[in-house]
Amino acid sequence: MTDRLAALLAESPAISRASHLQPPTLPVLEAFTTLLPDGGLRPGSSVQIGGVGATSIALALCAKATQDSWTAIVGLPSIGLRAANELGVDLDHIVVVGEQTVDVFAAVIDAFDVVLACPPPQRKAPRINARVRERDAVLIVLGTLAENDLTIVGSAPQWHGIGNGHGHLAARTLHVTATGRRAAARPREVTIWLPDENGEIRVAQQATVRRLRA
Amino acid sequence: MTVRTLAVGCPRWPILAHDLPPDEPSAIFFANRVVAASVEAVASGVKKGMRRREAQSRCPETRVLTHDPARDARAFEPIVAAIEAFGPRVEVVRPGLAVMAARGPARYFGGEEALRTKMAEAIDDAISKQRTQPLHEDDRTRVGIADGPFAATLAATRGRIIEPGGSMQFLAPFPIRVLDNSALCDLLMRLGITTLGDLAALDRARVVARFGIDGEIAHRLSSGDDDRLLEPRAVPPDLSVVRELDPPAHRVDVAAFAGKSTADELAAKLAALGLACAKLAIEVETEHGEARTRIWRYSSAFTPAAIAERVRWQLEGWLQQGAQLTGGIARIRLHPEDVGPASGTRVGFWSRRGEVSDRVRRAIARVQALLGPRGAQQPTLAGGRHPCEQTVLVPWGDPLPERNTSPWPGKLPQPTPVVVFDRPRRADVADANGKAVDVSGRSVVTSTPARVRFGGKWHDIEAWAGPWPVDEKWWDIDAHRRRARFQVALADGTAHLLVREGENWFVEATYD
Repeated sequence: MTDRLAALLAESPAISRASHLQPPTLPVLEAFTTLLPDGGLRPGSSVQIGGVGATSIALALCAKATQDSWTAIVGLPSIGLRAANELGVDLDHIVVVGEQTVDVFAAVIDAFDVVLACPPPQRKAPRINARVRERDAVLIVLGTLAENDLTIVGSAPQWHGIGNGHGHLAARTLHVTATGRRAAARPREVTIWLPDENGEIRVAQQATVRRLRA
Repeated sequence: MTVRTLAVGCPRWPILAHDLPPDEPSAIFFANRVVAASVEAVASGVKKGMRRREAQSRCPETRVLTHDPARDARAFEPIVAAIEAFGPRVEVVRPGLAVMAARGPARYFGGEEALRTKMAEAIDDAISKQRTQPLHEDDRTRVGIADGPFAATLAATRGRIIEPGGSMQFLAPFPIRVLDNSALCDLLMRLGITTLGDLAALDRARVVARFGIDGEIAHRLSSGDDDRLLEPRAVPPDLSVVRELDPPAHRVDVAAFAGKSTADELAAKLAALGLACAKLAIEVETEHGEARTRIWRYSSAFTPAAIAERVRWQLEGWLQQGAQLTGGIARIRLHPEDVGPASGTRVGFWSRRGEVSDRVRRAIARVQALLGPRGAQQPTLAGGRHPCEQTVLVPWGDPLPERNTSPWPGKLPQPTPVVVFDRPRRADVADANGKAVDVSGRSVVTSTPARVRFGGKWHDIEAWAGPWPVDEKWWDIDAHRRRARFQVALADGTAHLLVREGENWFVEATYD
């Protein structure tokens, strides 16, 4: 009897542990898979993005997810949607919400799979995080969000293709670091082309998972 | 059996619709011919159908007006309303000419003569109300009554009443040209038949044998045997639904309950007429007389449930933001717009745009109830040189414009900046010696830019490209913009799009 059960469990590892019963992660571009602890955007998690190139990172991060999931952009009026489209965001699944009040946040988190937003007021953060967890949404905040699950920071940008009075901005390498709670506690980093000269987003240097020196 | 018909003719309506002083000669031309001429121009010898050159040689000071039949028709609408005050079933033949059945109104207003004078006065009043300029004596409305629309129209040009059965005699002296069929008229004239009387004198069977159906119609008209029935314009039914709330509703649930029954009433009204609406105006009035209106659109036709939901969301939105309304809701009015036949809804076959989950749709509607239709918008790609022109935001539910995929010479090379400022930020650019950098009229920089200041700080420029001149809409004085663009990569690794316009530098966008 126990042998049969063990065999069954071995055949279907998905049901062997309760933690695997959570909804599947939303896909991300290949360049980000090593950066994220779950290999994708985990529903019910909040991500804070800062540093240099934060807007590009945020758009590129949800680009793959917008192919199938609805994404709301809340309270970010200056985001360049043409650039978002170039980074792979499917504009057919985007809704741009003008203002960001608590009511609006609640309505949007309830329905959308991915919410890209400007930072909510500090004291509202715990409630918003709780709502995100409850509704299995992914909240990506450009700026600071208290008690986030994952913090992504861009640094060391390097532009290519531009000279002294000639050429044009064509490609950029960016160093991206991710730290967070639980599985993400160990910092991960990767250097990516955001974008490369063909407008693609790819890893510039093999991702290394190591502890950052303080 | 011909019907007693009343015709209302506003002579020179296209000119009247322009609201010009009556003593000024003016004419409307179309395809090089005079379409209409004012009284003064006619007095100088300008005639309908005359060539432009001849008309201008006869009356050189003639003011030339644009030919716009749609405008004439719009301006005629209040006049039709004035005519409808006398009797139902008005048929508008063309802007400036309308016919209606005369028997009923004539009996009500005490005879045909009384009706004629009363109507002429009322319509002149309606025209004067629209105009700021006085009405010329010759431009007064003429009303005629005769048997059948054709005779009535001609009677109107004379302002006469033709006794029943007297139409044939009245029509006889009119030239054959009044028949609206130029090919047949030409032929008849060459055959020596110059008046309607001449045509009516012929045997109808022979006319039919020789000229066919056109000939028969012409013969019938000229012998006063015009039994065409009027085709009145359909008066659109009033579809709006109003609900008075007494006592006024202060709580959301009370208002929502009343809103639900109002919405159901509207849905039933539309369904009974086989109609569907794609736009819905929700209006409320508070006990203090404040009014709020919001228009809701739906991607396809509104379903009864969707109408009820919109009304509830909207009432919630208005009542929860307590600061906006000072009192309870006393009146709810729903007015459907964009009404068309209910032909069912179509779901896109390939397009995934149609596949919006109910969850998302509800959330968007909720956001729109809180922030207004512009609160939730859908982006679509458009053409343009500036990064912020290349996408258009459309309120959710509105039809999306066609995607513009045509090339735009002079647009920025990819990648496009990720952050585009609504209002460009002021900046200063200096060379290595601290001297301000300028761009000459030939798009050449006066010195190499080395530092840029924005946000109150100086930043070192590591690499730069430009100037890329953009000279847009040079044919339009007001919209003309001449700019020179630069890309700069700063020492801290960030990159920005700078613009030189006039004497100023701006940071237009950032490659974040």
